[in-house]
Amino acid sequence: MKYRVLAALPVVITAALYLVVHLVGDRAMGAEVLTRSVQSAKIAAGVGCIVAAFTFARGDYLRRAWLFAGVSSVLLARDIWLFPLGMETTFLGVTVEAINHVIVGIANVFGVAATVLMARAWQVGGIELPGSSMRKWMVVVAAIVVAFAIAGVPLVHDLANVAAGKKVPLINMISSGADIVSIALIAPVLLTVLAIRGGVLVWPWSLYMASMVAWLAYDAADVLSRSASFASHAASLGIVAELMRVLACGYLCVSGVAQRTSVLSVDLE
Amino acid sequence: MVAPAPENPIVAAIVGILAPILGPFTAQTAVKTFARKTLGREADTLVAADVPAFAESLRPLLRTFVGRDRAEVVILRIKREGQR
Repeated sequence: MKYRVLAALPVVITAALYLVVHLVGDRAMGAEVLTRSVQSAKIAAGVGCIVAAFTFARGDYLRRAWLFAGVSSVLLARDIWLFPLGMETTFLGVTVEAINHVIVGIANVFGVAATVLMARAWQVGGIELPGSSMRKWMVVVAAIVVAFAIAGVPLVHDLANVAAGKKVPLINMISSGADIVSIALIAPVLLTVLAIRGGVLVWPWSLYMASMVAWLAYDAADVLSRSASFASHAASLGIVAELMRVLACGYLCVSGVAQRTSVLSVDLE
Repeated sequence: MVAPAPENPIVAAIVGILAPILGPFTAQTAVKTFARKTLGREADTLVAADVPAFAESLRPLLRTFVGRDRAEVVILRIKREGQR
C-alpha cells in the first residue's frame, strides 16, 4: 500500500501543478510557479537520493549510485542561488554564466555515473536478466534508437553549427551526450525491474525507471518545443517539458524513499 | 517465465527466503546459477552440508541489492535452513 502511494504521489503533484498553472491564467505567474516547482522538485530528488544512500553502509555498491544521483540533483538546483546573481556578474573574473556551465557539466557527469552504476547492478550482483538473448538485445537496441532519435537531434544540430563555424556552448553538447547515455540505459534498468518483479526491491527500481522515462519525456517535449514545425505549440510544449521535469525529480525522490523502506523491510535479527 | 517451484526442500526454502526480496525469477535463477558456480552441481542436488558454502556465495548478490547489513541477515537465515 505504502509503495502504491509513493508511486502515485509524483503523478498527483504534477497533475495538481498543471491545474494550478492553467488556473493562474497569467503566463508570467504560471512560469514563476513552474520554476519554483522545478527547483523544489530538484531539492526533493536530492534529499530522496541521499536518504537512499545512507540506507547502505560505506562501500556498498548502491550507496555510491544513490550518492551520485543525489549530488547531481542538488547541483542542478544551482538556479536557486546562482541565477538571482545575474548571468553577467563576475567572480574573480569568471561570469556567473560560466560558473553555471561548469556546475551543470559536473551535475551531468554525476547523473550519468549514477545511472551507469544502477544499470550495472545486475552484472555486479551476478543475476540473470529475463528473456532470450534476442529479446534482451531488441530492448537494448530500441532504447539506443529512442535515445538518438530524441537527444541526438540537438546534438546533431549543435555539431552542424560548430561545423559551420558558429559558437555553441560546450555544455549543450555535454548535456545532449549525457541525455543519450541516460536514455539508452533505460534498457538494462527495465530488464533489472523485470528480473526482480514480485520482490519488494522492484518498487525502488521501477520508480527509478519511471524517473528515467519522465526525463525521456522531458527531452522529447524540449526538443519539440524548439522545433520550427511545432513553433505554434512552443509555449504548451515548454509547459509540458517543465511538468515532466517535476515528474522526473518526483519519481527520483520517491524511488529513494522506496529504496530505504524496502531495504529496511528485511528485518535485522 | 517463472519456473515451477523446486522439489528439493532445501532449495524451496532458500527460494522462499530470497523471493520476497528479489522476486521469484531472480530467487530461482540465483539458486541455480550459484549452485553451479559454487558447488559445480545442479541446484536440485543441494544437501544440508552444502548450505553454508552456498549461502556465502550469495553474498555479492545480496550485498549489491540490500547492502552489507541486510545481506548478513539473509545469509544467516539461509544457513539456518541447512541446520533444520
